Amino acid sequence: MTVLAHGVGARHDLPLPLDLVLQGAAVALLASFLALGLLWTKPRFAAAEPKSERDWWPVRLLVAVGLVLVPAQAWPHLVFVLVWVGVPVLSVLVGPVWRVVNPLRLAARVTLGRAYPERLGHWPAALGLLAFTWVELVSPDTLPWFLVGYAVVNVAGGVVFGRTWFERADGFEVFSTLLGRLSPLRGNPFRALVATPVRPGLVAVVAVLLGSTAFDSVGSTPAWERLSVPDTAGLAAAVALVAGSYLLACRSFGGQLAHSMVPIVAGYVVAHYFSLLAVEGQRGVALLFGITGFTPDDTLAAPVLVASVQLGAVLAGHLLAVVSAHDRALRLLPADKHLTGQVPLLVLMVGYTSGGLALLFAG
Amino acid sequence: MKTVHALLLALLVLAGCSATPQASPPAEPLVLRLSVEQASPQRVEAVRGQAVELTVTSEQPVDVHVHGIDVLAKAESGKPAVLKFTVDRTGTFDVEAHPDTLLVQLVVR
Repeated sequence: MTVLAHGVGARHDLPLPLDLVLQGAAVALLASFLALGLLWTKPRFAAAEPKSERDWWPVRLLVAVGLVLVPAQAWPHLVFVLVWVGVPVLSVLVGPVWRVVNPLRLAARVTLGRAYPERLGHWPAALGLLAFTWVELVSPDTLPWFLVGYAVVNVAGGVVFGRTWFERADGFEVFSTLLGRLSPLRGNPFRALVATPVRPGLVAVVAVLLGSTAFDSVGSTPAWERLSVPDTAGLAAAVALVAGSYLLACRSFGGQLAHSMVPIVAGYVVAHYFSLLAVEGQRGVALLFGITGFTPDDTLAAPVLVASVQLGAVLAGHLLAVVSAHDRALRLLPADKHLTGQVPLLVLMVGYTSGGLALLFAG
Repeated sequence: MKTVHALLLALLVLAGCSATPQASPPAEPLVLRLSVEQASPQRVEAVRGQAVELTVTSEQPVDVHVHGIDVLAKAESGKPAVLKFTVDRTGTFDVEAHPDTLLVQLVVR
């Protein structure tokens, strides 16, 4: 039995070369302010909520039956790689998949049908995601307890509140649905993004997603180890830093621009976890079939490829975020503030993107 | 959107050009002496294919292992752990004393 860093995965990526980090940050800065001047001056994207599908209960039933057969040693890879990284990446490509495969959603079929309190919004999802990232990054051994807790809370929530519970309060589904808005297969991603309902706790969800991934980079550096600060404090500080900086830059808009952070989250998740998914994902699938001595092929973890994917994903996310925030800001701001009003948000985004690149260099 | 595409393309080209060329492994091994009690983890650069020799001292009996490479040795008072191995792939590898004291991080290019 070996203790594994952040749940699974033994090897980290090479630090991104410093020249790439600097060039990337410069491109982000330049592109952002060019966009401000060059992009359209009247809002373009009308909100269009992607159609929700029919009920997928047979798929969920199949997954539920399949879970019983999962070998005990496959669980960490199943959760930390295939679900935590695989599901978001798949969501970006094809749309919200967690709602389709989540077996706990079966609970909503026997619901009492109480109305979900509006005030709760996405707060339970933010708390659930924070708890999960704590398990992933600080204490992977507590995974079984987390899974039991997650199942109990979500079955209970599903029985009391029905489907609405999962749409708003299940962290994994909220994460998957947010990233699913970027899927090009489901219509214009910008229109889907701007249709994101602004509920209490939305900013908190985004802050947990971005902050925890940032802390995963920081926490694995020797410099962080030398500080001897507890990892729990580091994780909390990273989330608080993201939330605080967003609220400071967007204080006049509140959650109205939170949707434009989604591409940044997606870009950073892909950059940070690409090689983990490509290499440990193979081991995860092998473990599901009970094969333990499998050696994954690590062609996809070649340094040049990883560096290109990291830089490409972070910058693509940044550009989508800038365009989406620009369009929304035109609607929210009075005409005489169209340019100046966007500056704090642009600075924030450039900060997140350069920070993200710097972390790929440091961690 | 054209600007966006052009910028993205320029970026990918940039990423491709800036990658450092592969160096051939040096003849001499990388030799490091580490202590579990006075752990002050650093990043140490190595080259793919280079031999690595780690000597780890500890007052308490402890397992020392390298993440991502199947090497494990025990250290105890007066009897340091010696790990000799060659890293044949690139990446960042943690050398840890059980359960989670980071001793050094090998950056293999």
